[in-house]
Amino acid sequence: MAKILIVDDEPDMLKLLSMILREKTSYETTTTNNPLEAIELMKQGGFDLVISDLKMPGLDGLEIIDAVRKIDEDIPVIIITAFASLESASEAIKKGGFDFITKPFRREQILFTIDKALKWLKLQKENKALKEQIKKSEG
Amino acid sequence: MKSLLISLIEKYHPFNIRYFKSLVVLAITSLSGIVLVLGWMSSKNVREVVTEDFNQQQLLLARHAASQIENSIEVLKRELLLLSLSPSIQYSEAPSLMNRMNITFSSIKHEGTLGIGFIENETQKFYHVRDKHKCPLANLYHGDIDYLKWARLEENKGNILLTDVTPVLSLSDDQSQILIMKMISPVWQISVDASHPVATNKFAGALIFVVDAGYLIKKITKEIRSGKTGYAWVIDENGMFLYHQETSFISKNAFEARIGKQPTISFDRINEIQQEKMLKGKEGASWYVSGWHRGLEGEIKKLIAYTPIKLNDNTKDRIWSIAVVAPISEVEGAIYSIYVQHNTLQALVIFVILSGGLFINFIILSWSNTLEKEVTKKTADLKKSEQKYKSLVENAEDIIFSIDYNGNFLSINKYGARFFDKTEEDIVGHNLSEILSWPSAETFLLVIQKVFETKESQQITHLVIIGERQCWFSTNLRRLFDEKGNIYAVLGISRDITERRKIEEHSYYTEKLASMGTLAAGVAHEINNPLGVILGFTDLLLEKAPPDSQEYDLLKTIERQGLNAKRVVENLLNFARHKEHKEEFVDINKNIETVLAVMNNTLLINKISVKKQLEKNLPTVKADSAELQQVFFNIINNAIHAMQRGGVLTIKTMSFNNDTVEISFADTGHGIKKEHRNRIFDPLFTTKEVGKGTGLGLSVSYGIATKHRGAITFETKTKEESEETGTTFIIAFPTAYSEQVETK
Repeated sequence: MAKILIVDDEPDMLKLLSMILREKTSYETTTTNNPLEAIELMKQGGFDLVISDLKMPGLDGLEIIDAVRKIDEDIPVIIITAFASLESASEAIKKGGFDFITKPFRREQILFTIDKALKWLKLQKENKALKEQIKKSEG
Repeated sequence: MKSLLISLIEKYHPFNIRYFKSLVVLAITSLSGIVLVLGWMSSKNVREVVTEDFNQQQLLLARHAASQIENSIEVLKRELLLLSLSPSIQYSEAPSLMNRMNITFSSIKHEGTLGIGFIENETQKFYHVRDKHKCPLANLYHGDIDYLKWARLEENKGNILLTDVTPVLSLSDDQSQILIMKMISPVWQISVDASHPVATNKFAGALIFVVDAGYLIKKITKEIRSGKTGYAWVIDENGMFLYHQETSFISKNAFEARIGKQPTISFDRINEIQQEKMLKGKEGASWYVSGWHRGLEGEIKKLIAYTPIKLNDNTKDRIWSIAVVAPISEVEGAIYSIYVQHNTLQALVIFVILSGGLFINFIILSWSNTLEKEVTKKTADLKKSEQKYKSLVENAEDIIFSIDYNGNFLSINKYGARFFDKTEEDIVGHNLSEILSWPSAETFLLVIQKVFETKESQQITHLVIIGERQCWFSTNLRRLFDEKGNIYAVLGISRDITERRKIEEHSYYTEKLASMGTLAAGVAHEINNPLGVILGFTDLLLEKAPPDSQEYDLLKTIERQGLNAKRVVENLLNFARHKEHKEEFVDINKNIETVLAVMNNTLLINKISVKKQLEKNLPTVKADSAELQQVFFNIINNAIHAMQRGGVLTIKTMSFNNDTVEISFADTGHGIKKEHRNRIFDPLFTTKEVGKGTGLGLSVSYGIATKHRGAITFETKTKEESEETGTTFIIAFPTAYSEQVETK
């Protein structure tokens, strides 16, 4: 079962997101309102997807992307932002963010994006495994 | 008094060319006059000096001749006395008596003596020797006896008697007239000789010399030359000519002879000289008018010098007079050369003066010509510059005027007059209060008077009310000085800054919008977070509530209001968002069509028909299509809202001079209320019902238009103002072409 890490400085938002995921999916969610703690959790490993707010005190969404990619470059990061500026969104994509969602969002929107990201991750992993098999068979 | 003096000086000071020229002419004339007068006086003087000199010489000649004549007579007197002392004569001793007389005669006959006679007292016998050809004295005349009587008188002893000169006919063949004068000496027997050892002292007789006085005088005087042609003449004490160059005058009366010869000429002057001077034995020099001179005839002025010839006669004053005369032309020769020199000099001086004058005149003339040219040029320049300034003032887009302390206009330029909808005549001479309405005239006058009083220029921005019209002026006030440095007016330059103020207000709006944008962005972020949470949970709850329950209804209401809030925030964000602004060449017509296509349904539902009057081949505009569409959308949306019961929306596009594109949206709605008109561009201002409008549409549109260097204006009529109500929004953008030109 996929494990999702949700980072937002707003506890209510964390609650909402985890509730949506719990009710509509079978994914395992971990939430934190402290971006620094999120990095620590990531290091412990085991997460398949990160959902992060863009604007947070201490560490913002873009820095989260950087940190996640350092740990595992395959793990997709979805950015949620209330500050729906094209500039910040495109920067998030450039940094390697998987997608971005603007607040307030519809439930379907977030669920669809999560599905998409996890499918992508699965494909990525399969792709890697296949590549390794090829390497082995070639080797 | 002082000003009179100044004006006089200004009028007559030497640099006033007209007077200066007159002055030069006057100076030349008077100088020439002085030279001429001096020359004339000097000539007169020279003439007098030369004449005087000449006459002195004539006088010398006359004196010399007179003394010669006197001498000759004196010699004869001595001879006569000498002969009377001869014993041969005293005692009548023939023949020695005749011998003695012959001896004497031979020695004196060349002196003009014609003969010698002796009348013996006792016998009355007449002994004589003579020039037989001339001397008429052959016998004893009766008159001669009278001489004897005179000689016999004791008191006449030793004296000599001279008779009057008498003309007689000569015995010579030509029978010419000769002038005879007799000299008589008494003879007393006072000498001794051998035969008369003792003197008897008896009276013996009278000894007579017959003298040709004419000859004697002529011998001396005929050689006299005064100058080249001057000659001498002699008259006796009776006025008879004893000698004259004109021989026919000799023996004639001097007072008659001349008039006899030239009866037409007045000889008063010479007659007076003869009468008053010469006959009275005086010496002197003068002039007179004669009728001839040697061969010449006519009125001739002559110079005369005269001196007496004194013949010592014991009996009476026997004084002749000799005159030396010469025509004035003799002197004129001498004077002439002096005259020539003199006149040459004079002419030279006058020439110098005249040429000096002419030169000065020339200088003045050329100077004044240059001056005149300069003045003409300067005048033209001045005129040009005046015209330039005038046209500058007249064509200025400012109101330029001068005004006095009481607020009366002294001048105003055309633009100013036009601005007040009046002619210059309607304004000049009129008071500020007649042109401007209360209280703008009064406050303005206070500022003007302040300039007069404080002597400082003023720069003010003030409200001006002209009838119903209200304008903002930016006015510069400064003092104007007259020639004496007194302030006589204030010059004002006013600029109508009403439009500028509007623009300034607009830019104030724009700034306000920008800050609103920043604020909105922050607010949007802060609101979106809770809104997201609210909507998210509502969504979750809606799923759990049965659709027909009251909870479901309530949750739906929460969701709806939440979504409203979301839209407001979205609009706010749109307004504030620094979205990437991408400008390209845009066809306005195409964008209008796009928006209309999107809104087609809405328009239909609201029963609004659209009239399109789109100009073909409209110039492109450099703009962001999406933003333009947003503007069109907002305005059409407002129009739909204004036409709640349907209506006509007319959309027009047109271009001006290829540099401006104008888009107008005219609706037939209810119009914008007066009190709203100033606020429609304000962010968050809306007339729509709560929830239907955000109050951002027009301010966003305004921001977009401004960003595209364009402008939005509107005209509106409500039912209070017109039967045909409606609002027209006009958006103007510069064309891409005009912007290229500008950047170039």
